[in-house]
Amino acid sequence: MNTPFIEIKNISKAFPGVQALDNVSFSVQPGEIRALVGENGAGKSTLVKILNGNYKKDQGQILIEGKPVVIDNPLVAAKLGISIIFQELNQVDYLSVAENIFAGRLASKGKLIDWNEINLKAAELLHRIHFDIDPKTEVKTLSVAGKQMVEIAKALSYNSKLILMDEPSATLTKNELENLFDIIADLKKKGIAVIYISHRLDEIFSVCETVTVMRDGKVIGTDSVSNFTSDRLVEMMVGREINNTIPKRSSKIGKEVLRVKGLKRRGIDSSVDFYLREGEVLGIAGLVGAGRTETMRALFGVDFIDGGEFWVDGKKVDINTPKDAKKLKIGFLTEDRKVQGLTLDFTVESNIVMANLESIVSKFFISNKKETEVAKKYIDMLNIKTPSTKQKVLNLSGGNQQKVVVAKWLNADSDIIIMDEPTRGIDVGAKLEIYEIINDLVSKNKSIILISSELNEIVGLSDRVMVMKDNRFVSELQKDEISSVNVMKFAF
Amino acid sequence: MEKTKSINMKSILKWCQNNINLVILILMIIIGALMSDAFLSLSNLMNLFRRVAINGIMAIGFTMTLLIGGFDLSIGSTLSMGAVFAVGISNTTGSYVAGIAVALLSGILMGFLNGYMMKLTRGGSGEAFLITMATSFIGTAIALTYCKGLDLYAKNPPQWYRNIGMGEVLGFPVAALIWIILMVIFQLIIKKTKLGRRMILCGANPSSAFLVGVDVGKLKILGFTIAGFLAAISGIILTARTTAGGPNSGAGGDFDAAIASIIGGNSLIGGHGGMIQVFIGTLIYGLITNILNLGGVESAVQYIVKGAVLLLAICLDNLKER
Repeated sequence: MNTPFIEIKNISKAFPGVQALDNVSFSVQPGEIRALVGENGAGKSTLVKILNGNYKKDQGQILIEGKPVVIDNPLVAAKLGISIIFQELNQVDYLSVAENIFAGRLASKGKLIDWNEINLKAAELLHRIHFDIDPKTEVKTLSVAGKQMVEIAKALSYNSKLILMDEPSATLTKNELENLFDIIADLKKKGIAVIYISHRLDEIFSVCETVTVMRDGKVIGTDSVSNFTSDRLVEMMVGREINNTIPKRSSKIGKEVLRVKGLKRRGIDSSVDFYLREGEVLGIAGLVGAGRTETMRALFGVDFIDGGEFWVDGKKVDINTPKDAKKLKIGFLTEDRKVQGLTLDFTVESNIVMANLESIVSKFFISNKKETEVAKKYIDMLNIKTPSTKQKVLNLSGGNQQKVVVAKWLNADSDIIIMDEPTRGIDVGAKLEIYEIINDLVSKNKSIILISSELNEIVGLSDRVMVMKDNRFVSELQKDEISSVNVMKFAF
Repeated sequence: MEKTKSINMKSILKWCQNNINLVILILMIIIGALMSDAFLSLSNLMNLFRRVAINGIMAIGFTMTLLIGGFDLSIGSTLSMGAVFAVGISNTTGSYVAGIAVALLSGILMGFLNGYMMKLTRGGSGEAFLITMATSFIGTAIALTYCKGLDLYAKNPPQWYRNIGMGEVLGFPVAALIWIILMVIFQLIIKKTKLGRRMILCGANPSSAFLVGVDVGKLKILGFTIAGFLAAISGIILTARTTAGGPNSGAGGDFDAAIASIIGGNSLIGGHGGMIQVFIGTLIYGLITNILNLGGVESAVQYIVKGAVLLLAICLDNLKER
């Protein structure tokens, strides 16, 4: 066997409360196209950040072409021939394509920047990936696919031998995706290895040669793609039969609790209508960027709206700020719990009581005893794993952090809870617990609006699904019509 | 045995790291006691309290603006404004009550202006710097215009007015008593009321605060208004002590308050801190001045030391575990 370009040996990395990587080992040959798959929280992005020098590994070794290396910052990674194309592209929108490619190492003639040389070299790099645009174009005018091409050109400019692509397809159209596949095949011919991270199994089967599956920070297996079926892949990722992941419940759906009519977000031409019933889970499906989160933010009074009427429990109401929404017993688990949902360096208890300080006041003053009692109640109810109510939320695992956010809104007496990607970035076991909490809440006559990019959640948890595309609801599926196929048919 | 010892050393070191401000205070007291026998006498301590009271009250206001996620560099100019109004209005109307009222009102208005600008810009620390820099010029200029550039001297101030600055209750200075009462009140507000909780949340995480229904803009206005109000109180106490007020009465007062607040352990990150830190920091700052005076260091040179202390305090803030 040849010397692999990169060999990762027994890498471990722990964050407070979670073992993000546990003894991870695998290697990639020059020119190999490797898929790296795993659920959210499996450790893929931690691994990427270690390879890029953003994080320090706790233990383990990285060998490049057989030689041990220390990658302590992104520049070192680039010099070793590792380039990473992140999902969120780090580009300067107002600079030209050429400037972005050569950012930080512009060629110069004496003291002056040699623009001719830079633009010439950039044009040549772009030509190598058949993306012949004027290097003087401002990056902000490019599509996402175009920006990715610029990143690939940048990787080539470093003479990279390994390019990691983190969910490159998330926002690409079908044609753009095919073009990307052509380029990946081209890179392979040049002996450049690619690690391709994606959630879309069909892409993995059409472009990758080998697959490494990760779960809960461990490598579950590496094998040639031809030895996999998508069922087996999913099973390895999830760790059990996929059908069993979401616990069943018998729904008891009651009267209408929320009606939204003509909700028009600022700057968007279209408007949306929907309703929600007592004890119901309404799934909102759609691709990233379809406008699901934004619609819910508008409903909750976070963003400005240009129009819209709301009824809660049959009464017409105004919702202008989150304060209004909270008074109407609506709660909102935001998609980024670490920024908007929680104050990370505050204690578990102070986060739980935050949305309803009245609940811990006795005779005008805040009672610390009451605060602890309230927190304990929810810690028991939701099975939040924390050494004490005074622990900083920062030190909890993602799943337990999410449960703290749920507790916050339950303590605020919310009857309608909007959950935006409630299981993002939490491990499989905690996901199951969140599903159980959702089932438990609706059995107690709470109503839930569930936004999720994980299809099996939408299909398995919802009583009704509305599919969003380009800021509109394009389809409404009743219980017996809900299936992955039906949802995806409308979402794309 | 060896092992338990090393663990003890470690935990002591950790305690010192997290309570570095208290450690500094104790060190200062030890240094002071070594430099002069009179240092630990009751009269010297009472003197210390009398001298630090005004800076202590300013530091309360500064800390409140830190807590809600900003800071106020205009409180020195607000102090000057309060001082010239307190003396000037009292002299022209003959009523010291009127003088005090106008001084307090000027402080409240200045603080409100700062807070309203913070609300308008949805500002954080960066905006706070520029906004309060601008209003500090306005405040100083108003004071200058009102007193025509001259120090104003109080005409026949009544005894009760003088007592605010010079009086004692059971041997304890009135001004320091006001400082301590204010610290108790604000500590209660911060730790024990819904309002305080909301202010802290708003400083630590404004977007989360907004999502749980907290009116972030209103709390910013409130925080800065408190700072302005307390600066005006400081101005009044100063004129009661010196029977004079001038356009430069408060010059550097914001700087002093910032040093006291931060060296006491209040964090530059909003939402962390309180009045115990103000108490410790104000005393440290007072002792530094005290020791430098005992050592005969001239006042210009003292500011070199004080500036260095502020830089040190900012570094120490980063050392702590969070």
